[in-house]
Amino acid sequence: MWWGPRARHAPGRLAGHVRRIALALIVLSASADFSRAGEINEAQALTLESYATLKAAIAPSPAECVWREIGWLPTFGEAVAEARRAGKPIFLWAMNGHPLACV
Amino acid sequence: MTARRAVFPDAKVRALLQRFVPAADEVGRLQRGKDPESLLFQKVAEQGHYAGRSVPTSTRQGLYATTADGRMLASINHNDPARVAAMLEKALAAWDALTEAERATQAGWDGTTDRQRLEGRYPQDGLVLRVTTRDLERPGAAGAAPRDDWRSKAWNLDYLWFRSEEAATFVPEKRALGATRTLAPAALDRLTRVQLVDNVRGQTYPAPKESLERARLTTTVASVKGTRVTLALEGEARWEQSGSWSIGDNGAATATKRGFEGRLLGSATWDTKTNRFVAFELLAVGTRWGATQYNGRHDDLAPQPIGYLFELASDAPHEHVAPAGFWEYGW
Repeated sequence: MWWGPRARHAPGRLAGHVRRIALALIVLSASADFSRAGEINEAQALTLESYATLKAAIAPSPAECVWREIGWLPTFGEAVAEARRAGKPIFLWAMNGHPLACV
Repeated sequence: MTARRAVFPDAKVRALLQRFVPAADEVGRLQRGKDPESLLFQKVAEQGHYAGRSVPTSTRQGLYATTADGRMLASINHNDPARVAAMLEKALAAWDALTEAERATQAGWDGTTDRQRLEGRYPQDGLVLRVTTRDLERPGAAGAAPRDDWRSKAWNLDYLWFRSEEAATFVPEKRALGATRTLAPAALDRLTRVQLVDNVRGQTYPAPKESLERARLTTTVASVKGTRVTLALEGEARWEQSGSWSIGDNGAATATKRGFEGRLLGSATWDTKTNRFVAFELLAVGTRWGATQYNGRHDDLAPQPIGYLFELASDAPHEHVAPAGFWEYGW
């Protein structure tokens, strides 16, 4: 898995017992005021049925995550410490917005 | 974003990088700070491709190869993998030309003393979520970027942190089937107006507190198996900010608004023995509108669908990056 050993990849669809609870909650919240929901794109409405499809549409593909497999350290300082320990040069990718997160 | 797609998947670049300690960091703080880490970066940068430059900007963005004590090996600011590979080869040649003593030097800052980093506040025993944001397919072509335009494929990442005691507020106090809890305002605030912002095409900033019109996340115990409590997550959020600000890179301030409205749905599993989440997945799907100065939406202001995927982050170092909205946390 490209995210590392701890991440869990839950099934695309919510598990059955979770779906039953979630459906009940959605019904109970149906009275919420969406009078301004003309701005909501009904075709992309988040429901139990659309969950897996929408998750797949948002999640990055393996090809989109290849850059994260390089073994990046998240700060320049950690690279300095490791370079001193390992006797290696540093390669630093410096951007506005952290390159490993929100750019 | 381009470097993620073009440079670092390149096989030659990846092979060359194995001889380096690879790191990534936010350049704004490094080029302005007065702490040892920033000063060392500035020493390196002023030997590099933008040394001394202040026009058209003073940015020091780029790719730098350096010794640990700040001796420049090579630098470039480019997204062509061939040119980056050439820069790495040049850097390695310079490195190999150093004496053993120069390569092994322990001179200068050690990388740990007097560090001033938000990453030092990483909530080791808390809840760390990776947040992926992407435009969703929109009805018709209005405002959509052409398929060969990077904006049609844009997506972004961020992280969302909760301390251990904050993470516990997601879990109903009574761990019985059907028990519910509504997420507390502080955590809900962070999940919604701080995180549900449009950064798909570029950085933006959290919505102001007063913009949050409606927010709710209800958690319900869906099952209890041993020490594992599985929760169904369901909620909604709407925020809208009105005011005057620039919506283009160099534009003047203009009266405008931006916002988000949508639903949240997901599941999570809490371990009562470790008091931590062992699984967490949440979607937020809805509509975004408006723009801010640097988020690349100046020509795409109308309401359009957007999606957020919140997942449990790994323990890997590259996922210890501080959230973009950290300054709203009050930590």
